[in-house]
Order: sequence, then structure tokens, then C-alpha cells
Amino acid sequence: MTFDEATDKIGVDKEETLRRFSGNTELMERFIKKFPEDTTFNELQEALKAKNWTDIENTAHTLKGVSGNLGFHELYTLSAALVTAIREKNYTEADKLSPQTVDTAAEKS
Amino acid sequence: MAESLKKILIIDDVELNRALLREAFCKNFEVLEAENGYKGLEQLPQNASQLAAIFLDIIMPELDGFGVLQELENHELLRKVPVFLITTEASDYVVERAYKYGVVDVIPKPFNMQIIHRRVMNIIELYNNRNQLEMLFNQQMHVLSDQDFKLQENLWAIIEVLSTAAEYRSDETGHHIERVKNITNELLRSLSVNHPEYDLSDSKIELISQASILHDIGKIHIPDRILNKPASEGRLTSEEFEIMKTHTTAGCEMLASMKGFKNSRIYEYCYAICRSHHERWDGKGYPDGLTGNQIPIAAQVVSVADVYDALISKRVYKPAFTFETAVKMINGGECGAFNPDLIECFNQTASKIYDKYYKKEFDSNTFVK
Repeated sequence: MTFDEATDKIGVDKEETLRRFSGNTELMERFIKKFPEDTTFNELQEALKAKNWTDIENTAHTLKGVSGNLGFHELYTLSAALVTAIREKNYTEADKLSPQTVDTAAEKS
Repeated sequence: MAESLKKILIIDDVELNRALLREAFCKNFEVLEAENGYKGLEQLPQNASQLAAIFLDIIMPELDGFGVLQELENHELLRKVPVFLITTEASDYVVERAYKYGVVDVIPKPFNMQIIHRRVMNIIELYNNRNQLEMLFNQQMHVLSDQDFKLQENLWAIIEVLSTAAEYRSDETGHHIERVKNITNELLRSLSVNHPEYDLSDSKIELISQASILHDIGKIHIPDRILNKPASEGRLTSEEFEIMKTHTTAGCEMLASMKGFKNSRIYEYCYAICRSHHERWDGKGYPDGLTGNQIPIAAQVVSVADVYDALISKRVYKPAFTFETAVKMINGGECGAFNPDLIECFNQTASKIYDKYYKKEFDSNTFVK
């Protein structure tokens, strides 16, 4: 799969994201490709295993930021919802969302 | 002037955020990065004066955004450098707290670079203008303050000349007024150090010293035949002395009649000194017979200064005394009764005053033990 095919599959709005990178295509590609290496995702999985809500919140928050800036909309929405759920202490909701988030993140990689 | 603001500092633990901001601003500025609060603060000492802006994340390890803001505040940098908060969390609570800590604007994530760039550049320009204005203002204030000072100096020089002219008939050397002013100044400073209860600030000391110039202005009212009665005709008769005494009241009444003058800060001291510089600590002075600290401290000090100068200088009715003699006479109560605190200060400074203001003018022939 080429880079473009991959990004299309994930649903990244390349134009919008490129604008965010001030038009630097190379930089954008570099960071999107780096995403699988991003440790935040792993940290989130660890936190989920340990059921450490604070860590889950923080990692989800970071993930939200990263996915937002990279244009991974689906992941962004999910992680945002996860963060909100934890903050509202809606643990059941969180429980539900976390696997979804994890899955989606894995997919993107 | 924009040449001097060349750098921006990005403090965020997420590399992607730093990269995005760097990309957006690298054409306008040199970009400095830090991955947490401490590393960010470390870069301040060498770069602070060239910083155009700081981008700050809130959630970071080691030292978070609020911690950094606190430090910036402690170093008084927030006024000069705009700080932009970067956050995914644009909740009201965080934003309000950020503003309270001194952030100038909040940049929400995900970034819209065009908007961010525009906003940031606008604010940087505003800060630049403000900083320049402040600099110009301070420079102007210095210039004004210098001019003001010179003007004051000139005015006081004129007053001194006029007062000397007023006493021309009775002032043999022409420097009595200047010396009394200097001695008054020395005594006041000694008093403020040894006895802070008299509440003598630097500006008060300055005012009182200047005010002392007018202490004998009332002598204008005294007829020549009394003011300059030749030594050969003996001392003043009691009637003549009564008239002589009126130089105190005549002087201060003259000052009081000048409506504009009454509004100035120095007026109360001029009036007090003029009226009460012949009062005595024991109440046997004139014109009001005030005792102790009823006598305004300004008048008390000028009184001592006046007497000291009279003793050490040659006058029509007496030769110049040595400073040892003068000190002895003043302490012995031969020339008036004075405040013990004041005498203490006088004793400490008499020698210094003599060396500074008298020694050069006299040679050993002038003295009589």
C-alpha cells in the first residue's frame, strides 16, 4: 500500500492536515509515518491493563492531541470521548470506549 | 527595532506539536524548543532579551505550564514577552486559570496554522510596540528629570544670592548663609541616623537645608543703626534689643503674606525656622518662649548651625574662636540652651564640619583662644 492509499483508508483529510503543517508535505508524511512508533498508544494499553485512570486520562489526552493534529478524525473523536468519560467519572462508558480506541489506534498503525 | 527580537521558544512534551509550530514560524524567527518546563526555563537566561514569544503546553512532565508561568512571573518576563498557551483542553476552567497566570492568548488544538500565525504575529507586533514605547518613555523621563533638576538648582542659587543680598548690611563675609545651610544639612543627617524618631527623610533634609537660607530674612526690617551698631557704642540697649528680636516675627509674617508661597512644601520649614531659630530649649528664647520639642526641629538645628558659625567666624563684635572653644561654649550652654540629642550629634560632627567648611578659609592668625 502506498502512503496515499493508506491515508485515504484511514480517512485523513490530507489537504486540511497539510495546511496544519504549513504546506510542508515532507514533514507531514514523516510524522504520519512516525505514528506507529508513538509510545502514547502503548502507554494507553499499559494504563488500561493496570486500570490506572489517571494514566489512561493522560495518555488518551495526548493521543487526542496527536490524532487531532495528524487529521485522524475517528481516533480523535474516540479519544476525546474517552477523556471526557473519565473526567466525568463515567467509568462504564470509559470501559466501553477504551477497547474501541485501542482498536482504532492499532488500525491506523 | 524588530531586529532585536528574533527568537521564539516552544515548550511542549509532544514532538509533533513542536514540529508543527516550528514549521509555521521558522521563516520569521529562530526557533528554540524544550520538552518540559525545566528545560524551557533553562534557555531563558541567554535568550530572554531576544524572545518574541513563548509557546507553552500545560500538561508536561517535570514542570507543567502553570509552573513555568509562575517562574516567568517571578522574573518579570510576562510584561515583555507574550506567552501563548497550547492546549487541547480549551475548557473554561483551564483558559481562565491560564489568563490569571498571565497568558496572553490560548491556542487550541488541533492547530489551524493560518489563524494561529496571524494571531501570534499581531500580538508580537503589539508587544514590540509597547516595549519600544516604554523604552522611549523612560528615556524621556530621564531627560526631563535632568532638566528639572538643573532648573531647581538654578532657582535655589538665585534664592541664595537674594538672601545674601538681603543680609548684605550685616553679613561680613557674605558666606554665612551658605555655611549655615551646609552645617544644617550635616546636623540633620547626623540626627536622622542617630535619632530616627525625628523622622527626617532625605527629602525633608533637603527642604530644611534650603529653607535655612531664609532664616534671617526678617533683618530687612531692622534699621541700620541697630543692625550695624558700631562696637564702639557698646552693646544694644534693651529697647534696641527688643527691636532686633522682631526680625523673627517680621520675617515669618513677611513669608506668610505671600499667598503663592504658602502652598509650597518648603513654606512650613521657612516659616518655622524664621520665627523660631532664637528659641531656647529651656524656654527662655524668643519670640514665643517655646520649650523643648515644641520648637520645630528645623528651627532647633538652624539655631545650632547659626551659633556655631557665629562663634567660628570673625564678627564686628568678636574675633573668631577655635573650633574647640566653640564646641566647649555650645556644650557649656554659654550660647543658648539646646536639645541634648542635637548636642550629641553636633559633637559628633563638629570637627568634620570644621574641616570641610572652615579650615581652608582661615589661617592660624585669625584665631584667639
